[in-house]
Amino acid sequence: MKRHTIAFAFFVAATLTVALFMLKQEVQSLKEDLFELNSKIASGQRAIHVLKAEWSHLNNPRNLKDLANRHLDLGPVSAGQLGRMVDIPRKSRPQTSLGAPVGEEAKRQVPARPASRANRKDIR
Amino acid sequence: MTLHRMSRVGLAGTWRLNRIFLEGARKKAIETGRKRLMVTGIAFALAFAVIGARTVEVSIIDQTHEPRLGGFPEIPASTMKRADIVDRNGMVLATNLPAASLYADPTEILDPQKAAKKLSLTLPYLDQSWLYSRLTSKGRFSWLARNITPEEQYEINRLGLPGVYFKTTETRVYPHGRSAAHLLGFTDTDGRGIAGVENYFDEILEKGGQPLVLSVDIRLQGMLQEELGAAVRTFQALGGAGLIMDVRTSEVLAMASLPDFDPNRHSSLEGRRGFNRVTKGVYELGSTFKLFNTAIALDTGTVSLDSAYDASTPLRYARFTINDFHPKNRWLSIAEILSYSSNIGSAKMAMDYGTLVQRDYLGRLGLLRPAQVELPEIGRPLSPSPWREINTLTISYGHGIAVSPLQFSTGVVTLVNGGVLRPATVLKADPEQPVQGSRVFSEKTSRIMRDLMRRVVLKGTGRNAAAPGYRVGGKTGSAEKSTGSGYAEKALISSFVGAFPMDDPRYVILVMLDEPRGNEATYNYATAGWVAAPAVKRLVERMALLLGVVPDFDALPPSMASLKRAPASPGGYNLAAH
Repeated sequence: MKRHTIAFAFFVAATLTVALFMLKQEVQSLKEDLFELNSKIASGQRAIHVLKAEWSHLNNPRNLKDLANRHLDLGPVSAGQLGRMVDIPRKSRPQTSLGAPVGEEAKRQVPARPASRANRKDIR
Repeated sequence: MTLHRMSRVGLAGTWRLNRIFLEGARKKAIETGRKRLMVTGIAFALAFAVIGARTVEVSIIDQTHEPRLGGFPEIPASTMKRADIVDRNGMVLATNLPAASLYADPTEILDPQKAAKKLSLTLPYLDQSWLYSRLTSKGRFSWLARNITPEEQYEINRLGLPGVYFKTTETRVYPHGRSAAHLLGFTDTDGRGIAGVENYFDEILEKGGQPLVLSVDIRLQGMLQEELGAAVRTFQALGGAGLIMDVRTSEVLAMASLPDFDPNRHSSLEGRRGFNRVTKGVYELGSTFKLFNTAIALDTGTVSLDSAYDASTPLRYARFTINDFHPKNRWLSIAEILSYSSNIGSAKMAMDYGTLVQRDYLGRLGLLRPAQVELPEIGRPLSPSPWREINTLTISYGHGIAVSPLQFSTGVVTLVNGGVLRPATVLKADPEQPVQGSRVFSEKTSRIMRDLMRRVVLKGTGRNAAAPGYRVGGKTGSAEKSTGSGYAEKALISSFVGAFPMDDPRYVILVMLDEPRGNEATYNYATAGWVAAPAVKRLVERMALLLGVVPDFDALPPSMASLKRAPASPGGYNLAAH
C-alpha cells in the first residue's frame, strides 16, 4: 500500500514537472509571438500615419479640382439640375371608351394588394 | 505498565527495563515521527488539492474574472510626439512625419573635401564650402542638414561616408499647404507652436495621443479661399478676409485671410502675410452695421415695421453732415432704410433709441471687447471714448467703431439664429450637446431681421448675392477707410455678410475686401454690391449641395428648372415669393 502511494506520488510529481515545463515553453513562445505582433502593429501604425498625411495631401480641394477639370467631363452641379419626385411627369394610362382598363392593361395596372414594403414577398 | 514491570526487577530486570523503556521510547519516537510526517503529508496534499481545484476553477469554470491578456502593452493612439490636427471630417491638417536629420562627427571624417563635394551633389541646396567648414569644425557633433527627405537619406546612405550619421526626428507637415494657414498657424524648428491653433493648443498637442478636431471643413475652406482670392485678384485689392460660420453653434467652418502663406515654408512669411485679418484686424465695417442698428431699434420697441423716417434731406449735427450714398429723397420705411442702406435713416433711428441703449446692446453682442475664440491673434476693437451722441449717430451706420470680422460675424450669427449669442469656436462642437449662449435679441426681432435681410438681397443693394433657390439674405457695406486726417475718397472696405437659407438659416458667410478697385464689368464701382456680393453668391451655389441645403424649387426661375413644376403645396411662408 505504501509503495503504491509512493509510486503514485512520484508519478504525479513527474507528470506535473513535465506539464509545467511544457507550459512554460508555450508561454515563452507566445510571448515571442506577442512581441513580434506588437512590432508589426507599431510599424503598421507608422505606415498608416504617413499614408493618412499623403491621403490628406491628395485630397487637397484645389488638386482635386484640377484633376477633375483635366480628366472628367463633369462640371459643378447647379440648382437647376435637381428636381423633385412630385415633378416627374406620370405615365398616362390608355383608357377604353367605358373608362375602365381591360385585358392586359387591367392585369398590369390593378394591383391585388397595396404595394407596400410589408406586402412584398421578395424582400424579407 | 512500566511500574508493573519494575516490581520484578533484579539485575536482569534492569536490563529488561531499559530495553522495554528503549523500545517504548523508540516506538514513541517513531510514532511521533510518523505522526508528524503524516501531518506534513496531509498539509501538502491539502495545499496541492487546493491549487489543483483552483486551477480547474480558474481555467474551466470561472472564465470571466481573470483578464485574458495579462500584461498586454497598450498600443498608443499615435506613434508621434505631437498630436495631429484634423478637420471636422477627420482630414489631416497638421501632422508629424518621421524625418532624418543629417549630422557629422568631424573627428571621423576621412577626407572632408571629398565628403563635402559628394554631399553638396546630393543636397544641392547646401553650399560646398559651408559643408567643408562644418566637416572640419571642432567638436564631435555638427548639424549638416535638418529634416531631409527619405530619398535624400537613401542617396546619402549610398555614398557610404564614414563619420556622417542620421538622427531620426519628426517634422511638422501641413498637407493642405496654404489652406487654413492662419487658422492652423505653424511650428518652429523645435516643433513648438508659435501661431494659430498650433500655439493656442500647444500643451495639449505636445501630450500626443488623440488628434485635435477642429470645426473647419477643408472643402469649404478651399472654396472660400478660392472665391476670396479670385475677388482680390479681379479687383486688385490689398487683401481680403472671409469667414463661414455655422448659425446654430457658432463654429468656424472656414476662415480665410489674404494675403496668406504656406506654413510648410517659413520663408513664405514675408511682410504682413502672417497677419490674420479675420481675427486680429479691426476695421470700420460701415453699412453692414446697420443690421445691428435696425435690430436694436426693433428689439427695444423704438420702431416697428410700420415706422418710417424722413431721408429726403441730409442730417445735420453740429458741424457734421450725414448723407446717403444713393439718396432716395423721400420717407423710407424701416425695411427700405436697410434695403437701400440709408445713413440718414439709420442715424435717426439711433437718435431715437439713444447712446446708452446702443452701448448696452453692442457690449452684449461682444463688439466692445476682444473676440472670444481659441486663437492667440485677437485684435482689440476700437470704440469712441468718450461716447458722445455724434458717435452714436455714426456708429448706426458703422463708422467710428472698428471691430474684427470674426466678432462682427458672430454678431450676425446671433441676429439670425433667434437672438442668442454663442462665442465663436474653432473646435468641432459635440452634435449631441447644444451650445450655451446668452440672449441678446428676442426671437421676434430675429425673425423680422431675417425677413429684412432677405429683402436687401431681393430688392436692395445685395441683389448680386441672390443665388437662385437658396434664399440668401444679407447686407452690403462699403466703408471709406479713414486715413489720419479724415477719410480717403476711393479707399474702401467693401464687405457683404450673407446668411442662407433665410427661412431657417444655417450658415453665415462674410466676404470683405480691402481697397478693391472697380473695373469695366463693375462700371468702375468698387462697392460691396459689385465686388463682394457676387463672391458670396458663388460660394452659396458651391456650398449648398455639399452641405445638403435643398434649393427651393418653386423659387427657381423657369429657365433654370429642368422639370416643369407640379402645383405648389398650399400653406407655408415662402420668403422667396416676396
